[in-house]
Amino acid sequence: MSSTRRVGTLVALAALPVAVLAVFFVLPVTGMVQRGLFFDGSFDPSVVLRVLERSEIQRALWFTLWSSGLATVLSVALGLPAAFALHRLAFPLQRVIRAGLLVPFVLPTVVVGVAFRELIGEAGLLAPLGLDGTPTAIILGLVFFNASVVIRAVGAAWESLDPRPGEAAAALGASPSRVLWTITLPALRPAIVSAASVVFLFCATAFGIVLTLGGVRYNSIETEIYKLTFTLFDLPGAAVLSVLQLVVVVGLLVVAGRLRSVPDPAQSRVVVRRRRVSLRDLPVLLSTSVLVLLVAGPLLALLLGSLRVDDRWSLGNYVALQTPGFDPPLPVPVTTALMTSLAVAVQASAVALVLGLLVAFAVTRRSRTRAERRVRAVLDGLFMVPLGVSAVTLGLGLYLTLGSGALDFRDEPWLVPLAQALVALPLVVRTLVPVLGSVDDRLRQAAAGLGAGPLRTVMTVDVPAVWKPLFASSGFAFAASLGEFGATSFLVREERPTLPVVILRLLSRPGSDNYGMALAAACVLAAATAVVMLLVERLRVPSIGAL
Amino acid sequence: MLSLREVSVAYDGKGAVEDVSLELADGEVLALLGPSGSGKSTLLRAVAGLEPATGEIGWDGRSVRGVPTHKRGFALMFQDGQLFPHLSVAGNVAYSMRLRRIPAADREQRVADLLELVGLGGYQNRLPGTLSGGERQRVALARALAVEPRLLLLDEPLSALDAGLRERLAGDLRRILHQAGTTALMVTHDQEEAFAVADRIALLRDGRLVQEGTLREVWAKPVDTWAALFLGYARVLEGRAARTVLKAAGLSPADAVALRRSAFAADPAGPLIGSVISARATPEQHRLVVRLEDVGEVDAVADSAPAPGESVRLRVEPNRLAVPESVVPESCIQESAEQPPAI
Repeated sequence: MSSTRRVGTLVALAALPVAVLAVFFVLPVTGMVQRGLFFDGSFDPSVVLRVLERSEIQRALWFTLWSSGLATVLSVALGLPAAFALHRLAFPLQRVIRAGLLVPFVLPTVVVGVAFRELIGEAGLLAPLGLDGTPTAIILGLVFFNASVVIRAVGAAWESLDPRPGEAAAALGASPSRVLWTITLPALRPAIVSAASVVFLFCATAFGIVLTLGGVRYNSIETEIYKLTFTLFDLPGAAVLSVLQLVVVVGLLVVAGRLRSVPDPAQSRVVVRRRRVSLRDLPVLLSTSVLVLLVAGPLLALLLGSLRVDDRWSLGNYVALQTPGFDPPLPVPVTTALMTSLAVAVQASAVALVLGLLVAFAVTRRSRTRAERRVRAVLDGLFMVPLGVSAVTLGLGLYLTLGSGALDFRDEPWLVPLAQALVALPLVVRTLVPVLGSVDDRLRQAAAGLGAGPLRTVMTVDVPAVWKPLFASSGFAFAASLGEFGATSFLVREERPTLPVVILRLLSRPGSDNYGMALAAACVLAAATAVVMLLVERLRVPSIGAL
Repeated sequence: MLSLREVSVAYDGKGAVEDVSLELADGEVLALLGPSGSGKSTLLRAVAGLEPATGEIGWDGRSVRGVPTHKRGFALMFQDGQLFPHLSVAGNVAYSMRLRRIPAADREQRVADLLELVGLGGYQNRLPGTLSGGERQRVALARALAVEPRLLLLDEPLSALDAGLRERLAGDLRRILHQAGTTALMVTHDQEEAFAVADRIALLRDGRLVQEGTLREVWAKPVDTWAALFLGYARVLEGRAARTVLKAAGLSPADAVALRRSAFAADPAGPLIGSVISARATPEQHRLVVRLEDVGEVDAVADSAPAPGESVRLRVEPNRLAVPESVVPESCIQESAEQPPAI
């Protein structure tokens, strides 16, 4: 292929995704930066400082940092033993437990928040512990949600970790704990570091959990932005906080990328026979059991709570989902909101898939020149940025910038799916790029050498490699979109709410009827995402969810 | 002294190693030789304590049952070295000394000595990623020797290397093991490697020990036709063909005979007559394939090259053949057909 044609293909592939990203991501975010830092056309640092000096903002900042840090440490501490037990040992019920521990990963944060409230709230089983509305509750919620991230990322690495260096160390006289500290953990360091940084990122930008568990007393940057916008109408304050968060998150991602790339990438990967459990695995199994309890407890509480009306077993809460609810009624019945959510999720995952596929192809084509390679690298990085920008920031940015002038899209019905697609896009790209990148280019050359044209080559070589990850990532995008709440809450139209938005509204209303409906709706949402993710899980795509 | 009594290892109920009994005296190097899937590596791992085994594994008369790998004092060296990638060469070699809390100064001296022994003096600060395959194996050897192991277990130590390097390193390995006075158990599927490094050979097939003895014993008297082929004999003749050849060699008749490539030599006064099928020049002599009456195709050597189709007389070199004690069925021989060419 001539170089002009190659560059032409690159431009053609990248044009649409780049345009979408520019208008619906870069523009809103930079627009917000402007609003936060420039007042009346000039940069006024005193305004920024005044915002940062406010005590509630400093509290939110400090709370975000320490609660996220602690939750990250706890997630790793509980996730590592579980990753070992689930991926290196063999014991009964292992598959069920593994699937069960991964469920929180895909649960909408709102559902997790509701489930925890049900367990530790006023009427909950653990009410006597007095955890409701405390930082402990928030941190437990974050661990509940993120331990599965550690299990996923580290478990995949641990599963195929070559056991022979460890055996060699043992034969050199190293005790099992010595092997763990000097051989195994250093080998797993890239996986642990990347898992920990993703967990920190998720914790620091957790919205639904803090909003539902933190009550009025505890706010993270994320919920503070939301409150500033909708309760206090302090848009400049919200914009300053968003910019601050953006800087911190991007900085964190850069540091994590550095840390991750240090060790020898040429670790050999092998298929390892699992070991049967023995007595010395007791600590690991105990720690895993704690995690199982932490995960199962709130979910069971949620399920049981949704089945009770006026202290009796009843399906009343589920029946009520067909109605707009009680005093004051919702704009639509909950079932309608569910249908809206499903429809939006279909649109969002379709958009994410098309854009993701274009980006993945553009990024993984082979480069001939250095400039070309650099362009592809920049593209690759560019489409990772939405991961670093919290959904709330994106939602706020879209809300602020697309409300006027030529870009008056705020009331367009496609804005919500598009925003959700942008949130899911990095996940899709991250799943497809490693797969396409690992296709040996010589296969394509061989196909071309046998007389296949460019399209035919793609059909013969790339499509067979990519169809499973494609299904998996669209399922993933679908689940992410179903539970998406951060961006949606800014953009959703009053008369067409999605299910997570409805759940939060029900929660904020008084009365046990509304609360019961919220529980039932959360169960329905959880079931819908769990079903989608179990289907995705069956496709067994290794790179899925590995960020 | 290592002693194995009726050692068996089973995976999912299937026996990978069955009833193997062996003894290995101090300072001796024993090669466990067998094709892939013969259970030799499994046996080695059982000795190391990495696989659960039944039977008795003992050292100096004391059973090591229940003793975990890191307390057995048996160092293990893998096919691809398994150097710790995050540690330097010195860090790798000193790993076990660090565990034993040997003072830093002594450690450094010992690392330098060991690297000198394996021919890598001055490599202390290199990272494993920057070494060639042969260098990595040398570091792995130094690391294993640093343990001052009671027994060194070598799992295909040279197999990952290319042919020329393998030959050179095999000689070095033998010298180093003897110099250090190390007792060693080596697993290999390559009979040349076994002959180059070991004092004694134990031949495994399908998890069972089929023959054990010194190099000379095993080579001179293969236990059966499969063993002969696996040890590197070029062809095995059976039945009438075997009796014809043995008679021509002036030896007593047997059911089978194993032949090296040079077992027949062109000789105008030779007792056997045949027609040349092909002739190929090598630097030293010509190698022929000849069809002999009553025998079939055999390999032979000649000083000059006859053309294909010519008739040629052959004599038998009695010291270049062996009489296996028994004949094993074809199915077993098939496997060894892939083995490298004969010596």
